[in-house]
Amino acid sequence: MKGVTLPLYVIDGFPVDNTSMDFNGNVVENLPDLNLEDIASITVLKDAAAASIYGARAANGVVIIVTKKGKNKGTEINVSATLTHNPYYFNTDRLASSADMIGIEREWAQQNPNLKTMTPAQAQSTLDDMSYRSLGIRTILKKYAGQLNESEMNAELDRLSQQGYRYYDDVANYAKRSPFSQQYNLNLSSGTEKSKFYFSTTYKKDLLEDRFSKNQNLGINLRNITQINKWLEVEMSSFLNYADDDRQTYDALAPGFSFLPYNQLKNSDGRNYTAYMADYMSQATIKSINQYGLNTLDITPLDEIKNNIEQSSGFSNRSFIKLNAKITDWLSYSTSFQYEISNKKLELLYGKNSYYTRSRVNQFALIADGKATMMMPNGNINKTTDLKNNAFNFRQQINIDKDFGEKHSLNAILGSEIKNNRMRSQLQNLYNFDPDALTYTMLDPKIGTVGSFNQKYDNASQYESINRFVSFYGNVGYAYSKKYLFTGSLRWDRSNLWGTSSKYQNKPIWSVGAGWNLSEENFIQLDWLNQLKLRTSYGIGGNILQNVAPFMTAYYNTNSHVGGTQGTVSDRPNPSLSWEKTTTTNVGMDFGLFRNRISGSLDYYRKQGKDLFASTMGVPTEGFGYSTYAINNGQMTNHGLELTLNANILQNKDFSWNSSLLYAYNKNKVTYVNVKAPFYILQLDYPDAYPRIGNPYEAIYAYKWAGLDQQGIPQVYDENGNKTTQTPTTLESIVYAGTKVPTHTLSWTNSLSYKNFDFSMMITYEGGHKIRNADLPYMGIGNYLTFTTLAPMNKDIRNRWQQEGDELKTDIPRLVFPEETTLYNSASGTVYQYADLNVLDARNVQIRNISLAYRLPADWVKKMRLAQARLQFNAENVAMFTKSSNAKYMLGGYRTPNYVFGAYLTF
Amino acid sequence: MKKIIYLLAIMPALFFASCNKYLDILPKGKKIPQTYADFEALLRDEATVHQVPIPQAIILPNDRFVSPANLNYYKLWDINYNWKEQEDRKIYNNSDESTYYYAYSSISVCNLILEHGPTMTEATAQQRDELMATASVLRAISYYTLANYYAADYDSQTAGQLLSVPLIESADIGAPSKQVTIAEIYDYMINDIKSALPKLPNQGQTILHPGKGAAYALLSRIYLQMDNYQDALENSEKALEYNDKLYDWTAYYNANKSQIEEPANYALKKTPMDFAYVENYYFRHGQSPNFTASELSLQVERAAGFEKGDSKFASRWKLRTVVPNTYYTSTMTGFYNTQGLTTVEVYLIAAECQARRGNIQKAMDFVNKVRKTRILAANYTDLTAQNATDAIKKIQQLKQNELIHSIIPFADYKRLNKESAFATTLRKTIDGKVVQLSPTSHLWIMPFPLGATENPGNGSIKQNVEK
Repeated sequence: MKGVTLPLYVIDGFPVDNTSMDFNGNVVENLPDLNLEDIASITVLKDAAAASIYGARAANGVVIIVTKKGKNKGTEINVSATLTHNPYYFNTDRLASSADMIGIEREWAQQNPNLKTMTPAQAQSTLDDMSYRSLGIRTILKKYAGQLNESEMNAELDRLSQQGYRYYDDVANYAKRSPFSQQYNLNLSSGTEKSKFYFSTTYKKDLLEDRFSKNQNLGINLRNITQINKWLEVEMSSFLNYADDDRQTYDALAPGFSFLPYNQLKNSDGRNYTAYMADYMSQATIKSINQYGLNTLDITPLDEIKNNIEQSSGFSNRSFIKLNAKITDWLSYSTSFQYEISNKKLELLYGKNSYYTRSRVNQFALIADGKATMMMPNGNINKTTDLKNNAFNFRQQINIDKDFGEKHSLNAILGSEIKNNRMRSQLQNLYNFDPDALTYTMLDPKIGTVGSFNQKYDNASQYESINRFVSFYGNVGYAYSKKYLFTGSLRWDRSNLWGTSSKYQNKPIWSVGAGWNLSEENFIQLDWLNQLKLRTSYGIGGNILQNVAPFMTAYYNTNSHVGGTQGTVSDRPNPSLSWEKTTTTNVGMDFGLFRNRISGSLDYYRKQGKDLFASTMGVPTEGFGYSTYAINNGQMTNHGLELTLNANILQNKDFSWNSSLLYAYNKNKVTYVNVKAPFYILQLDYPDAYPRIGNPYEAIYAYKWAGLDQQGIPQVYDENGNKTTQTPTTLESIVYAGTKVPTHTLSWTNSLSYKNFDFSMMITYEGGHKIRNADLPYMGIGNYLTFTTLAPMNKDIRNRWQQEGDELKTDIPRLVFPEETTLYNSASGTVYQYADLNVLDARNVQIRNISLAYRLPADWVKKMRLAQARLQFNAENVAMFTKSSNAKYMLGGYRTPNYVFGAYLTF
Repeated sequence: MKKIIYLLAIMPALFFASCNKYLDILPKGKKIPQTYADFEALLRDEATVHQVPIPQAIILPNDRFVSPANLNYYKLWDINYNWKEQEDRKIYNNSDESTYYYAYSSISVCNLILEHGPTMTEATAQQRDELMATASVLRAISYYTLANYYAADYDSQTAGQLLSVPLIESADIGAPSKQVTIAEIYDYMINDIKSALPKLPNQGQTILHPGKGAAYALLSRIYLQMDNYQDALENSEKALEYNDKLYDWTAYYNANKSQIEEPANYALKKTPMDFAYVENYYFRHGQSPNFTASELSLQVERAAGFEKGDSKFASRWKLRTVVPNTYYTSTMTGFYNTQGLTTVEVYLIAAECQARRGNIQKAMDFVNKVRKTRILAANYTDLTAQNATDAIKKIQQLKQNELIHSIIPFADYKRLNKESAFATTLRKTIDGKVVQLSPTSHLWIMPFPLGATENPGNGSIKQNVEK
């Protein structure tokens, strides 16, 4: 329930962590660096034995990647180039348009009781106070203030309502671009009887959606395998990766002022639009900025996007050496050592004139005795972050592979592993930084009492973490006359992690398995049956919580108010915590029919978790009311069915058709818990922390929707089944609304070949799960402002309740503005947002990939002195079909496909 | 070949030997507190130790302005602000956990220091005693706030029977707690402070560490709450021996005059009432220590309760209309010592005790001593009183203003509501209807938050108020 989420990657026999530490000390898991073209094979392990070979880290599955080793004989060169184009797309179809928003603002004018008695002076002061930020409402107020007459006001409102989705259009035209990537790969392999050599290099350049964001990457891979003598083989490999990235830090979709679809980024005269202070700040604030000589805070978004680009450069290396010694023909010993290092430096120079720096400096203006003192100097801010990791891994393994007589065969491995992983991060800010002279100004320590200055983020900080593991493992397989197979595995781990001092540390994890090759039996010799194997396995895995200590721990930093070091207790000794135990049972069958034209496997598994880790709310009286801590909370079962089916439907000289199907069914059920949510809102917001018996673990909980009342106000049922417009506060009123995890998943790939053309298409289906709709046709969830503030919202607001009787036709609540104090119900937002009405069916069908390849005819290829040549076109994420457009949006279905063009040559 | 086999046999043995050493390293950036310095730092953490907000105690007597929209959104605020006695506050007090949660967070850190103090390393006997004594005083301040916020006022008639708040003395997970009587919690606080006093330094290491002055000031506050005027007076006099300074607000006013007097100038000034304020014995936040913020706004009616020429008031608030609301908005920014201990409170405790003894002149001398630093020279004349009752009323008026947004106005209302001469019925008009808050209203006791009663840990919590 807690802990790492990525599967473990094992590359050429080594577990590769590639974790790094971010600037605030959190561990981030990354995919391993790898030239994709170097991959020879990928295998995914999920059964009980996986954990006992690779340890607890394998709980999320193991991905075994084997890279290319080089040719046995001769030389081969491969060259390829791919281009990827992804048209920019922002889904405005789901959003209320300018016309909708102006309609809402006109309704505001009708409904607002304050407006009926508002004097011109009050209207002017409301404008000056910037109580309302949206252009429509401000235009209406200008009429009340006497700045515009009725027809001028209407003309302006009409003009705004005709703007469509101008802001988003301007963003698309001037601030974003269509992402475009190029990738070039060269690899060379050659081999003799004694040695195999492989070299590859990949260069990648990605231009990202933000115009000033791009990534560049160069990877170099060298690998050599040499047979030194009859019994000793040496393998050496080194992978180098250089990265050089730019990241734009200003986003035109979060410009620093509020906008609606009718706002703009480009003026009609073609100049870049500037939001002047008077466009978004109150007159009183502007006055004090001018009076005390602070920085002006005008924002020109299309100029700001060029400012404050974060530049990062990285270097990483992963090298290993492996010795394989053949002691006798059935016994071998291998030892290997891998070293990983990676350095990354991020540098961000916040320019003196950028909006970020101007407003940051203003936040630290000390106003006293009628004048302002700038506690933060008015200059560039230089922020650098250094991330460093290194890791080593030392493995030794004895392999036994022996046949006894004719019928018995035994294979076993016995090994040990030592791992060390060290991560560091370091952050530093220099103020009033001169990039030429490389000078900076010290800050007055009193800055902490003037503004919100965080010593860790705004000054400097360091984090470091070291993880060490020592493990022993063994694995035995025995087969009797190739018919009956038995396996067993055992692993024992120790580490320096906090939880390790607990008595549960020394528990081994183990598994046993058995198999029966039915097709080898004499009594089942059928023409159409080529393979039939039954197998079963059973294993116990365990987990300890890595960051929970049996001791009290505290973290420390600098107190910026009174000085000295301040400490905070992060964990209290947690004596009741024990081992998390997972039992996995698996029964399966592999088969091959009709000369293996049809092959596949069928698996049933059952995973039973006991004493699973979960968070619980701290006890307020103990002083930890706002914290959570880990406990062993509950049991759960997962069981499921997996079917893979592969069929060569047609195969002749010119035409072939292969179809493969992968289907999985998974059912998850919480069978025991000993904690209930201390408070209703926690059940809704943190359902995973408070699972309920009988429901899946990753569930969505909601109020039962009871429709709109006669005034168009949303209602739900309370615990007694009565309709209410208030938030029910009991746990009984909150019901199960579905699981977040699909219960059925299906993937179906069809590959067709005709002469030199290959075509393939992959379709997936997910079903049985739900998703909460967060894109609501509702004005400000949890809005407690005095004044209406409008933000872009879902277009279904058009179908809202407008008059009595509409509650029979629509579920979309009426608009109630905060100014309508008698009608306004602050609970409505919560009631509507958490109602099961807004829990959507997430069932979907996706066309994931369509690819078309053309292999150049052999005679052409020969003329070009090539061995092979292939052109390929792919479209990724082609389409998604869902039950409702809301679900499609929430599932990320509104996006444009990636179009990939590639050319692959082999010499 | 044989060599390799030997090597193989030896290697695992080597592993086992060095394994424990290899794994026996501690993570960086975190540590197990062991030394004096490790524990001392825990008391410097403002977020967990030195912040106890008291929102409802400010809202109930209408000591702040709350906009209609906020009242609409925070149902509990509305009940307390508009004295809706028929409503059940327990249901809505999810929006008020902060007093309980933060006060017990502070108590937990203090308990931790007191539990581990005897075994901490690299500490001199004096350092150890001092740190533990400091923790005892900090814990007592939190209990004082809790006991006044969540339980009935101390009344010698009922204190032995009525329940107060849970008492907890350990920082462990699953530590037992017991909801004790009002008398027990007051005895506990007094004993704690008294036994801490001899070990406290005259001045704490920083303003976050209470010294002797702070301890005497707290004792005098507690004794006054118990109507024990003799002890309250004695302790207030001792407190003033350690610090009797008053901040000259008239000088501040004159230095910032142009900005203060310019009507539409709402630029925020850095508050002088922060860590370096000369009146501080001990500093405690009532708002987040992580962000500088303005003070709470005042109702126009409440602002009228300040004396003419009050420079402290004029420096802090200015009339503002943001249609449709008119209120006094804060013109300060920074961190404010609202929940700590200051000299002005001690002066006014001493004044009331003197008045109770019949020393009207002495009482009014204290009042005027404070007023001289607050009231601008042009408006200042000495204040006099006819009798003890008159004097106490005048002292209260000043105290309510001076200590606004601290727990004291709320605690004083509750304390004086027992005496018919001083009991106050608050009145106001909403939509043409007069509503009132009587001295005996149940609203003067805040219900415990649901989060605490539903998750009481190793103890039980009984509400002290029905709704």
